[in-house]
Amino acid sequence: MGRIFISFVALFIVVGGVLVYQATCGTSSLVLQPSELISKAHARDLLRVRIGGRVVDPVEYRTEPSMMLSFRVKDPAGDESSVPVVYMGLKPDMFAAGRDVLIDGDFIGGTLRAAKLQTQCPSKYEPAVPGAAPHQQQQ
Amino acid sequence: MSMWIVAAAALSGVLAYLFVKPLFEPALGGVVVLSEQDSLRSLLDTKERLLRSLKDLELDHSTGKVSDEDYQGARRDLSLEVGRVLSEIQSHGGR
Amino acid sequence: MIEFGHFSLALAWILALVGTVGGMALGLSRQARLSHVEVLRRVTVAVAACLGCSLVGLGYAFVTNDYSVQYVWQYSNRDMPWIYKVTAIWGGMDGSMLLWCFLVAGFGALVARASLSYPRPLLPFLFGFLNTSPLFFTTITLFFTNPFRYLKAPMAMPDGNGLNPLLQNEYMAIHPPTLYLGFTGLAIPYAFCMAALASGQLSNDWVRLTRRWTLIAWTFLTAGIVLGGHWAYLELGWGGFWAWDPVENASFLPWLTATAFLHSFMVQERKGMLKLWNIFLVTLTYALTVFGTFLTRSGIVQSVHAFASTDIGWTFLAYLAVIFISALGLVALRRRELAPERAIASVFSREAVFLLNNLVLLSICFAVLWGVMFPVFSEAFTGQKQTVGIPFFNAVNVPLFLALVFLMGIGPGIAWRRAGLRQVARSFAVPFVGALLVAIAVTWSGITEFYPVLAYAISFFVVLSILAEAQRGLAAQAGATGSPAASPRAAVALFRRHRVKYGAHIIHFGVVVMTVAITASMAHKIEREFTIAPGETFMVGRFGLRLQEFHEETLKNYESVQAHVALVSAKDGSLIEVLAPELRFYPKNKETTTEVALRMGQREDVYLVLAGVDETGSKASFKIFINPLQVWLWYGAIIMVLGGIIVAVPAPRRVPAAQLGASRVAETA
Repeated sequence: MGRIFISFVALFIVVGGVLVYQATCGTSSLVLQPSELISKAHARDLLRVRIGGRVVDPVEYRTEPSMMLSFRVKDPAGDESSVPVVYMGLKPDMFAAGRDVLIDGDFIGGTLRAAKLQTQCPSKYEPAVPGAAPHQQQQ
Repeated sequence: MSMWIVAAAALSGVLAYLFVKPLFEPALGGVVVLSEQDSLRSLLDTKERLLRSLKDLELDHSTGKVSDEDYQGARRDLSLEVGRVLSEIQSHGGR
Repeated sequence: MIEFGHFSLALAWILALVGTVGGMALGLSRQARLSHVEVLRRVTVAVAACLGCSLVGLGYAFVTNDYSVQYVWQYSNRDMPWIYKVTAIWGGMDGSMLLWCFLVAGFGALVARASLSYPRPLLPFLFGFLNTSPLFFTTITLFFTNPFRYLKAPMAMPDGNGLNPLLQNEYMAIHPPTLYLGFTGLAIPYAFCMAALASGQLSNDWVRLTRRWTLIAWTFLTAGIVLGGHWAYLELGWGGFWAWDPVENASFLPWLTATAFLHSFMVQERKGMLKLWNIFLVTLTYALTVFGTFLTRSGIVQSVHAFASTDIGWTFLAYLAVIFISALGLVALRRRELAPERAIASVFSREAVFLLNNLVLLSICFAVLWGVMFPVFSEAFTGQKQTVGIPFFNAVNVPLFLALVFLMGIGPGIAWRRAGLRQVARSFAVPFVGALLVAIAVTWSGITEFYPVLAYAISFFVVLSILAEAQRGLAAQAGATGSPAASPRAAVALFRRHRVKYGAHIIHFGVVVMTVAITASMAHKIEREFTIAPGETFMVGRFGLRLQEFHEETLKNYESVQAHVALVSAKDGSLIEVLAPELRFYPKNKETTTEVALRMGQREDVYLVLAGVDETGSKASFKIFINPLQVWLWYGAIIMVLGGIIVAVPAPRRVPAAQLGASRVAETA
């Protein structure tokens, strides 16, 4: 192995490692279920989280003066506690009560402020194809 | 119901015929010797690679990517190496 | 017919097993009869033929509405037009695995057809390894995800369940097969690589023979990935085309490593360096295609593509282990022959730039893989599952991508082996100054963020260095032949003589066009929400949007409302186009979907979504995205694919003049 080869590889391990490490620390969020979120909420005031949950009735959607979608999510398996969610933006396709959603956002003062809301494909239409259409909504 | 059995039998029959046929072809009576790479093959490989490098060098020089000085030096080195490899190939009885 | 399909699948499995075991056995025996090799070759072709029959069997069941078959029942119904019944073959996991089997075996069969001119000692192992992928995937299909199972129902089903409406789309006909062709084609370089290692035929032959197959697969993969992005952009109403979703990433990972080895192959062919490195990249690429199938079908990571969790995950992990362990074993066996013949002589050389390019591509690959697997890793090591999203991928990949594009400008303009500093300075002075001027101009026009300015400057740098390289080629040609340098005929002659080289420049140019488009659509996107009543106008950018009327309709399974919105010029109010975004309501499951109205333009796309209509019908809310230069993303991709075709298609046979010249040099030496 030549010196140049070794030093290039070493350089990239360091640079790549630093980039990935910094970006991970700066952007990672906890993956929780709604019930876990409620129990964790005392620990800190602000949590950056990704929640996977099921939408429960009632769903409120208004488009004026700005688009806002508010609803509650619960654990897909359980039916105890639910968390209020507010999403400022367009209602995603296929969004409805009973549907499973992925929410990225901040949990502040007992409410989840969603930055990104994605509806999961209905389970009866299971695996689509790799690379095929994700249904999602971004703010 | 039995349609598929006919189709399956036909497919199997055609394939079986195609697989058995080469076993009786005189043209395929030979043997491939699966020796590992011999030194002649690797010498020919090296020759090919050196010639390619020479060609690249010519091109790089004609498009001004290599200085005249570097070009002369590199060309001399490569040509010497080609000569050495060619004589080795000859001693192996290759072309 | 369904039994015939099932039978053919089983037969294909047996033949793939025979091909794998027979190939290995014949390879391990020191002497192989030609007739046996020929039988093996025919077996390899027959596997694909059987899988073709199997696919026809399944397709026949779809077209004839045979709902006694579970898979057919699950993914089609009588109302679907026949074309969607055919595309429903790969609408679900079981059928998509069968298509995968057929394509991977089909590539194997094409290689087997071409193999008569290959070095014979390579062949037994080559056929053996060409059959391993079909063997693995038919095993999965036959025993775990068999699409030929009958529906366990007490009575005959009159109608099927139907295909997800989002998949009833013309893109469904073209995107998955294109992507799969890319994925499965990458099994070919792996088979060559392993056969070369196993047989000890480690000359450049395998690299040379692999190149074209890889380029074909790469071109399909590129097209498939971009088609997926285009589909998402048209269909999904969020104004974007790429969301770093695990399933998208799964297709991107092998693209990165395949791009890497397409470049480092050139170094091996010329310099006898990076042999081990290339084996690593080829194996990694193949493993990533298998990993991608695993990722999208095992449910180990959360994705919006709600894949059914299946229990076949362990088989994929076992196969991945086999791939890596066998590659390691073979490399250990051949370690002496894999030693580099020389070291890289200088940092200022084409080979050093290629190495850098490889390392950047691998870094991107690692970062994406890290992002995809982070939930799994973090849970394993900290007990608390964590995840990263789009901001992570952008933070890591934007600088790495810009480095990659920059290297694209450097590589072709720098000499092999060792370039003089003065020559380097002379080659890049004009492009560098040009890029600097662009940076200044862009900043002056009001764009001050760091990355966009850098991206525009680097893009311009690459374009200029491609042009400079072409100009130098023309000048050199003129010097050699005495013909005028800058005639179209001279340019065509030069292009034909160095087709691969300039084809690669075309691909690079496509990448630059895409870079500019992505930068513009990311950095200068306009997003607005607004509510207007009929007759009112909303102004955004250089457009005005005037709501004209609503158009309501009740269809078979949904109610539709369209808003007719006049897109007018902000300057003089003249009508440009009437847009008709649509909202569909499915009463059965109380769901709404949106149909985007899109006006593509050279300067920008206007992307309008109807968010809701007031209950009294007096007002409507919209979301609008204005995506600058978006259409150039697709143009760039088309350029890349065209470049890929130019490079991959074989040249007409003639005696290359340059080669004659080279051998003359050799004789005089």
